[in-house]
Amino acid sequence: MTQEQLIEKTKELVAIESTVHNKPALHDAVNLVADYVAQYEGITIERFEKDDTPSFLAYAGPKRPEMFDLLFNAHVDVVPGHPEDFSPRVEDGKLYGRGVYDMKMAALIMADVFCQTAGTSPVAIGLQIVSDEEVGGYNGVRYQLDRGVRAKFTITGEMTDLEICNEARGLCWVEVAFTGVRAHGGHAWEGDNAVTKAAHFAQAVLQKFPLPKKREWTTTANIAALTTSNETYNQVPKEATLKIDFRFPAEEPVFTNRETVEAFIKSIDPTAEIVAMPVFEQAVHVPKVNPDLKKFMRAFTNVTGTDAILSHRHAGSDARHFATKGIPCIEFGLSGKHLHGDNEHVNLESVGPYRAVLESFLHEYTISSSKTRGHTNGHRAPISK
Amino acid sequence: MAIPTVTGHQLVNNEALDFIEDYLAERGLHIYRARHDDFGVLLATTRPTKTPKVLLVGHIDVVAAPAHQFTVREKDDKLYGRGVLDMKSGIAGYMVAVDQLAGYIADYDFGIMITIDEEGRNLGVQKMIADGYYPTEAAILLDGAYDWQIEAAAKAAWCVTAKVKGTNGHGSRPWQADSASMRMIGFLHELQQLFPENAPNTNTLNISYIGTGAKEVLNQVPNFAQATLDIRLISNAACDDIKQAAGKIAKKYDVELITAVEFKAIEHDMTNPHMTAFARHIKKQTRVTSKGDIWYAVSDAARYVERGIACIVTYPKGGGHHSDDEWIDTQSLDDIAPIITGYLHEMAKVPQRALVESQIQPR
Repeated sequence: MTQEQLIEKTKELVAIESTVHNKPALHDAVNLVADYVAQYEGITIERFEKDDTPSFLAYAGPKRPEMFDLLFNAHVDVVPGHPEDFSPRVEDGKLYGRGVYDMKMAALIMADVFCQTAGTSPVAIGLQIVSDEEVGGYNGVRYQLDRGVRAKFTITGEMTDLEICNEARGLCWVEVAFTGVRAHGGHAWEGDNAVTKAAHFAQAVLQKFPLPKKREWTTTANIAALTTSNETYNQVPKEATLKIDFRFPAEEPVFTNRETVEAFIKSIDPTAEIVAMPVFEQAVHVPKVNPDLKKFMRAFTNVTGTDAILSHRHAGSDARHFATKGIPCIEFGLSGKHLHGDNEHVNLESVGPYRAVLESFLHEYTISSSKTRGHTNGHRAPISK
Repeated sequence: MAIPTVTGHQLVNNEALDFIEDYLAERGLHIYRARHDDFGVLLATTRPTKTPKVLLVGHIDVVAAPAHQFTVREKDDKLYGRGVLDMKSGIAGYMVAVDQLAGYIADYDFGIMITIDEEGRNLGVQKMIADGYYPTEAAILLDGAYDWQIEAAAKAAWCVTAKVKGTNGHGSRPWQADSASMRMIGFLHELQQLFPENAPNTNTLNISYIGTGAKEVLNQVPNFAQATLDIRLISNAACDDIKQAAGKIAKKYDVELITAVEFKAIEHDMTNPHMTAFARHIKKQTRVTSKGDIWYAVSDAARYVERGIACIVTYPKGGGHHSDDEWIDTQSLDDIAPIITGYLHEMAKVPQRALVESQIQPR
């Protein structure tokens, strides 16, 4: 795929409003990538679906390897945006649109690199496309892992600005409910205001984990939602719900496990009720001595002429699901800006190096693998069905 | 009571007005229906006038409640349900009083006015006054001061909507976003310091609503937050001070404050003849001596007092308005109509000579 073709295909994918509740669009987005991969002969597309959430796994040959050597992972779901965010545009060397950076363009590049290589490589390469990363990844990556999908090494295309991320913070989503007593707003002392309790709680959390002014390897708390069903202005609200999105490095004691989180919440307000902890995922860490990570770093240096920089990423991603199964997973993605925000975009100048690093890594991996297995690698020309 | 007239549900509320209108029209009252936007007002008068001598004022709308609260239940000589005190009992009392006066209705100069937005935007009474519909001497409002105490003074109220605009971002990189939820929480935390006590004779803050963040997505920094602040103040001076202080805090957090409803603090002239007459009829019927009470909520009384019109504000014996256990004493419910009829007989009866004149020169 040329860069022009890639941009057009990405625009097509970005125009699909594949947000969490838009199930038809999730199917459309997954199908768009699957249809692209299906053009290549000898590739099997194994489909998965849980709770109307589609994903697929692509590999060469008719039978899924018990253990992939390498697995490319990407997601095509996005967070909500303005209507104009789904009308992608190129401007000043940047491609704008919801999900272009996170991570539809990387998904298509990975798919293309996979298609060019998988059929002729002696290495067992897989391509995994999912559609629920933004809401926890349980019906995508986790579901596939639960169905026996395994790999020795995984690369996910999360946006890293061409850095190699071998560490990611853990993720904990908590929903806490507060209960009070209704009363007339003019007789507030006769009631017990649930919103006030929730706001006090949120304030205490933010005192414990103050928001850093700039990027910092620390625990953060995003007050993702604070709501009450009461809409009567002169009534003391009886209930309020607070949702917090915690991100934490491995060394944070509050997030040792679910029990320590619960203890932390109760220490702030013993009456707070933990309604749900839909996500609790430990931090990700791939050690520098990992041989596949070393190969990847070499490939990076070969392409860019610079030393590879290892970084840690602040977002949780599907990488944590691989980590829980003991599968090393690094994140490597395009350069861009405004993740989940207005004017999300990819710097198109990063596309070439990104693709080249992936190809170089596969080449290096194949050579070292061939030496071991006595195979040779031949570049595969795209064959349309 | 069985009509779920939750404030803001205009259709249901207007149907409730139809129900009351039919009842009053059958008993000979002149009916006028006003409508401001979709909010109806019912005015029923004994004579064809915009300005009756006495006006029995009420609101049929109630605050939201679970469905079961719209079925009255009785226990230990108390009736429970949404609006049973605030203030459907008062309206029912007005209706029964009219029924008791039926046949003699032309001998009186009074009206009944029912609005449907008192618990919400609270414009019904204001708009009717602006259009020239108000009593010449006194308004009666069974909407405040518990246990037949007559309101002597009422707090000021400032209901304000607070809005924060931020910018979205990924929850893992909150430093790249401008979290509206965080700024709102900071604002509320600092605002709360202006209200160190939560007690009857102090300024109070009730954060009655808050909304920020998407319903399902947790990994996005919210770009918008909104809260409703229900602030009650012991005086108009205190109101001015709090407004100024709140404004400074709002500026610090870049919060926009929009006044939704405002009431001045009021003091009633307890020597007004209508006050003393109503108190006499309360005592005659219930043996309760009304000493004059400070009421902590606000009501439409402020709209009349601001215009120099006497307004008698009281509640029968009951409690828990806006709570899950709103109630009224059954005997007290029965006492409403006799108190009203006794008072009207003393204060709203038209002298025979005036009656004759009015027949010659109808108003």
